[in-house]
Amino acid sequence: MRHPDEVQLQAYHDGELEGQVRQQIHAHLGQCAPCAERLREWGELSATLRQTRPAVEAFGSDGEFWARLAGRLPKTRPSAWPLVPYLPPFLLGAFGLLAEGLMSIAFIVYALIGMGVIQPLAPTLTAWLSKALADPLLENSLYAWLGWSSSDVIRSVTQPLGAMSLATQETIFLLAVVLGLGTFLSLVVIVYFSWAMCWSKTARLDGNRGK
Amino acid sequence: MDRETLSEAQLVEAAASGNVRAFSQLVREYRGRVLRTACGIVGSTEEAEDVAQEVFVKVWNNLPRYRALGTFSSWLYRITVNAAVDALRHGQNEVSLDDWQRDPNEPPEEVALRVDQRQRVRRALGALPPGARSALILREYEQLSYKEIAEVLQIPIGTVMSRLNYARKLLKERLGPETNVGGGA
Repeated sequence: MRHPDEVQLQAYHDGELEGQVRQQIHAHLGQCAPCAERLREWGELSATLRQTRPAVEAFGSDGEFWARLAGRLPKTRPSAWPLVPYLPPFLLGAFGLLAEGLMSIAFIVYALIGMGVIQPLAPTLTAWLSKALADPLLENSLYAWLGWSSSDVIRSVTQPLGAMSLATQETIFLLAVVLGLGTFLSLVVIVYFSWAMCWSKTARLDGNRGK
Repeated sequence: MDRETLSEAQLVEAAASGNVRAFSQLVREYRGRVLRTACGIVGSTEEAEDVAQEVFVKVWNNLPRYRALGTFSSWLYRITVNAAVDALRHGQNEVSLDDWQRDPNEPPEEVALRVDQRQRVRRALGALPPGARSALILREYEQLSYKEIAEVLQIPIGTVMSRLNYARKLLKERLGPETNVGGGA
């Protein structure tokens, strides 16, 4: 076998070699005085380091260490999810963007219909509205409670719409979209600020500080 | 071994859920290893105490997130090495090692020899680059295997071997042949 290199010799000294390589180096060391001397030197260096390593007694006592540490431990741990506090404003912004996008699309569609680029959507929307108003869920709950029938409701909604011009119908649908989204966004904003001012962690900490 | 692992796992679990008593037991269990490793890297007992405090505060803060990060001791050693190397970077490294091992019964001449030898070893260690020094301290002071060192330092085993070789060669050069194992050979 060739002379082992320093890395191999150190790995042998550290007990990190196994199997055939270990046996080969072991056999080689029995025959090669210079390699055995190198191994002895690495052993001496390790022994020097281990002898000069600091003993635990060189440091303060367990009790002193813990007393100092206990005073430094924070009362509450940092959150495992540090981005959570930013989630509500992020969601609020996302809702705003979405609503703004939907409103823009509604306005663009309205403009394109007005310019005659696309077919009027009012007949399709009226059909969808009729279908939605005839939903069995509404029939069995709200209408049953109020004593209405779905055909009456559909008639009372679609008849006035049908009497209007297509342009007026389109405008009404656009206003419904804008008002619906606006109301939804206002609710989200109210809930968010209520949470931020009354129930959020910061608000609770501020409340406790005031006591 | 199973019993130890289980009890450590239980302590870690309890400390992660906010049990301060369990955490204090973990601190008692690992304090020596953390102090020794930190002292090996920063070279001063006082600085090592500060580093160890910093390490255990970090451990307390991050315990709830520890689960997926490997064995507890490897994680602790990693935090220790990082904190000690950070302390080195902030220039707080002082070689003041006269008090490394206090033995009131030791004759003054032997104390002087021992202190001198320690200081020479510490100066030689202090001249090593932090990466090589950390690997050497983990191997020689803590007797971690190459695999464990690789896990702590998050480097391949081949890199551990080359760092150890580099550190040992440099140390041997600086200490010279007469250093001789604390008079052992």
